[in-house]
Amino acid sequence: MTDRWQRVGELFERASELPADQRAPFLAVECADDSELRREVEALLASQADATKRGFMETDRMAAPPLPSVAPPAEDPMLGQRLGNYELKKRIGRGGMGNVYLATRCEDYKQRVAIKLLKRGMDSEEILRKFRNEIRVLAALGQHPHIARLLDAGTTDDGRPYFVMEHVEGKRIDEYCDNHRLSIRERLALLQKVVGAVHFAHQHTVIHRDLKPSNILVSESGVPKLIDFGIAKITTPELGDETATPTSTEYRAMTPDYASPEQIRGDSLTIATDVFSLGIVMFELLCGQRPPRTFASVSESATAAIEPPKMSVLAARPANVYVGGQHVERSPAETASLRQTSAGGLQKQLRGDLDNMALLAVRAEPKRRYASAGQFAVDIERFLEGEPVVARPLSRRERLWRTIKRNPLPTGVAAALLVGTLFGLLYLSQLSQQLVRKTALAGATTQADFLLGGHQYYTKVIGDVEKASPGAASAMKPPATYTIEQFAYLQENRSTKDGTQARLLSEYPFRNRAGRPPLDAFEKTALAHFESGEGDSYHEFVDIDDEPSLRYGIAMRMGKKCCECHNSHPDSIKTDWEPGQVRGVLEVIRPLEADLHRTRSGLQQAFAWMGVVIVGVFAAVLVAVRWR
Amino acid sequence: MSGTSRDITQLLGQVASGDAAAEAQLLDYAYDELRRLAGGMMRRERPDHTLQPTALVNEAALRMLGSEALASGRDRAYFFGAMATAMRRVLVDHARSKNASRRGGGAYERQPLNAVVESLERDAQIDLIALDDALKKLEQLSDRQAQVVALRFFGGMSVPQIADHLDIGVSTVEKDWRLARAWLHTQLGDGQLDHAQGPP
Repeated sequence: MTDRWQRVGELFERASELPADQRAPFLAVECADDSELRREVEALLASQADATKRGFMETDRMAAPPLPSVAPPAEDPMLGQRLGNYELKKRIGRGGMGNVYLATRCEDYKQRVAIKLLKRGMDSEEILRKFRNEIRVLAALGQHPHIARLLDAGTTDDGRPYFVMEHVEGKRIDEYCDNHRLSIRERLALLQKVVGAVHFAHQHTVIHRDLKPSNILVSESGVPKLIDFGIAKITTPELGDETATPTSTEYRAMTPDYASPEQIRGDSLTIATDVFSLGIVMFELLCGQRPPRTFASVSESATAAIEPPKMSVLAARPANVYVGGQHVERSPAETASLRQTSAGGLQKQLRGDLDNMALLAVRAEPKRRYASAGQFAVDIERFLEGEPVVARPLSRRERLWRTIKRNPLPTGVAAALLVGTLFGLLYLSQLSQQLVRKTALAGATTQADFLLGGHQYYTKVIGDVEKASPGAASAMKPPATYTIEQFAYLQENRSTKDGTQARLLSEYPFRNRAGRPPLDAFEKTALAHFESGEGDSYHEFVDIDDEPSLRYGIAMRMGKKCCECHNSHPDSIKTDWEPGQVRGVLEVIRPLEADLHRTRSGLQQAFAWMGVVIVGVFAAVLVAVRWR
Repeated sequence: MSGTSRDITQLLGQVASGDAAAEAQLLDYAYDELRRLAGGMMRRERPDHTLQPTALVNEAALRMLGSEALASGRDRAYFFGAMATAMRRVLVDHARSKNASRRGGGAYERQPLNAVVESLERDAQIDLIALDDALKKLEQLSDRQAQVVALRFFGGMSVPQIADHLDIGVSTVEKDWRLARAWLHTQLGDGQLDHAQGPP
């Protein structure tokens, strides 16, 4: 305790003992030099009053009357008394409705029996009916060779009913198996009988609910018997309403080590609960230890369906076992030797079918276990006879499905991203093919427009010439000159439908050709490029009037004949041309707006569809997990 | 409880030395005590909630087994302390996961323990998570006072039982309880009921 807190406590205590009007002066004196301390104590005092008024944390009203002590009373008045032909010797159990006594037959002290006697004061109509039902059920179950028999039933002098059960003389099944060093096959044969007996009880609408080695006794002659159906549950409603509400005895009707997840949760129980407990017993008999609990809490057991380790894996670990009332540590080699084999041999025997069978019995979800104890028993028999068993390991698909079910969100995200990305790649490759085609089409259209323009122009010129002077068309200009003029025309008309322009540039045009274009930066760069001999084409992607465009130029070089004509022509402004010299640049300007727009809208569509696919797949995964 | 005190210490000793029969008896006893506690917590509930204390008792018993309270052979004080701790863990963990599943906006699965948590919070006018956090703070101030609160609230023990258990005087327990309760009330404030009841 901190010093300060101790001081707070003292002041609080002393102040609360004072009348309300004396507290302030008291605290003023005590906390003269520490106003914070004073505030703290005052807050606690105020809080105290409020808490009392509201009943804050009032545990008294939650207190329940304590239960009577579990320690048995020193003397049970029934001990030593006689019931019919039996004398009660010792109390060996107690339940909600009655106590269980060990008794001997009067004329034959060697024959011991177990007697369940209804408690005094429990003889309501309801309880009597339940007790009679129990007798009826036990009488039916006792017909089975591996279930303790009902020997007798009667009523005491004061009207309390009782029944007499065979007292099974024998060892717990796990001790019996170890004492006799039974092999795996021998143990399985014994277990098969037990499972069969449980199935018989199930057919008589009784669930044992507390199957464990101490309730399965084996006689010296090797006959196993199930005992303690006293807490069993009768499943058919007309046999009693024990199924409906748990009675107080049911809190004890569970041994945590053997209890199924649904039993721990307090859910309603089915025959699958007994199958689970039998599976745990199988683990214990064959590999020498129970699987560790795979669930640590009620809420966890509801969702997690993790498989316990296999028997063959557990067999390699040291075990903590119960021998003669004590827990002892046992090495894998010792465990194996009690089964007449080596540690490696034991693991080998358990691997495969037996592992699968035990795991099938102890699955967390009741519906996924063996459908009945009968099926379990038949499977053990099949194994012993070398036939294929029903139990199979979880398939890859089931394993995957479990993983998905345990992690729906990460799986959903992963699946959505994977599918979305694949879809996106597919869509984009499709898109790029489309874009290539569309761009090619646009290019070809432009070319065709150019050519068509040139053709129409030339036709018009020839027509005009023929019209003006018939026969003169044969004296038309040579093609090169015509081409130049054709482009001059195109340049004048400026552009094609999509805004493509053509320009003809030259440093040295003829004098009679008007409109000498300005020498812009592009042309200068292009000319320098051509003159340095680096190639005959040059391009730049640039913004023209804020619009992204492609400027493409090709070199126009002088031919031999061109030089002769130019150098001798009177209008030529330069007369020292040589073949191969660059005369000018033919430039095409192609605005890229349309191409960019096409690409952009294509990508937008691609992303929109990817989004739809990702969300769709994610939703589908979640829906699938929820509904299956 | 005092009538069986020697039995429990004795049983614990036997369990520690590996006596399985004693272990079964002790487990039986733990079940009875846990059931009494859970019954008290659920007393104001409707009778159709009978299944839920079963889950509470079973889970608290599992935690006790896990805490090795049964196997360590310590005295009965340790045993009851472990019981109160197990109850506290189960209830607080459950309150936390309940809140998380609500906040997460996912489907609100009705767990078997929800009714226990809700009933307890309503009855004691307390938010279990806030109480747990405040108790951890109180431990810094005074470990003993935090123990008194935990034993009384989660262990359902009376003042004389706590005094006996912690080996201190009855008046000290009463003082501790008064101070701790007033302090917890300042810590939890007045708004805790809204939180405890959750969104409408």
